Amino acid sequence: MNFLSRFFKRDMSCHQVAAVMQQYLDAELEPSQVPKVLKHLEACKDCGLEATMYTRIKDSLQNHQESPTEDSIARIRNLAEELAANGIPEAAE
Amino acid sequence: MPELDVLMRVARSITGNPTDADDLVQDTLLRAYRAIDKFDGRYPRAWLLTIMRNAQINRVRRKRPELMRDPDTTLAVVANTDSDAKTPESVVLDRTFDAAVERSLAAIPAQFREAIHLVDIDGLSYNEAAAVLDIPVGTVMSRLHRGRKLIRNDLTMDPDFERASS
Repeated sequence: MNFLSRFFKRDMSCHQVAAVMQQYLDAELEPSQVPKVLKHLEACKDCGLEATMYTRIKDSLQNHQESPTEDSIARIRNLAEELAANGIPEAAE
Repeated sequence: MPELDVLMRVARSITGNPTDADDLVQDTLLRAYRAIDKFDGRYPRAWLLTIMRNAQINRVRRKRPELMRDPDTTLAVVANTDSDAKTPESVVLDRTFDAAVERSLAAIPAQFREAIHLVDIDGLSYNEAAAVLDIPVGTVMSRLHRGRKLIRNDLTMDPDFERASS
């Protein structure tokens, strides 16, 4: 992607994409920026590979999530319902 | 209450064990109930997470005053893994991409790991993670960026990486 092409079409450079890559992967990027990042990632092999690598790391990290036990969920849900219905239980005062 | 799952996951991250996590969520709900008049109705999750953070600070201060000098300690404990325990089965399992990522995650500085844990594992937004950590959003972004880069670099130097990533 040469300089003139970027200048006239206002495409993002590798440097600019690298600066917002994490926000893009976390869905925290300004929506108007997203198509420009996507366009660059499709056209630039290096940045595309970089994004793929970070996406795989992010996906892998999500597998670390530990779900609370049924008992825990029930206990907390009971407290929430108790609070909504009757206020703070005496034992917690 | 749709925020309960998130509260429970974050509580588990910042306490390091299920029992303390349950207590922290209960404490958070009670505090939220008492403070409901002060809540403006916007961003309930961020509001609850801020309450949770303050509740955890009080709990840690009561239990272990010395830990308050280093608030990053809590997640450092959570993420520590026993890398010396190697059975034939674990060696095989180790050669997966997930295991390689886990090793790398455990090896990075605690403050980066903490940000990654909250955003990537617990699913918080930048604003919510900033509320939990009581740091600016820009600092959350910076820690995420640096932490992930360390993991990425570590993975590319891992001799098992080619096999694990294929």
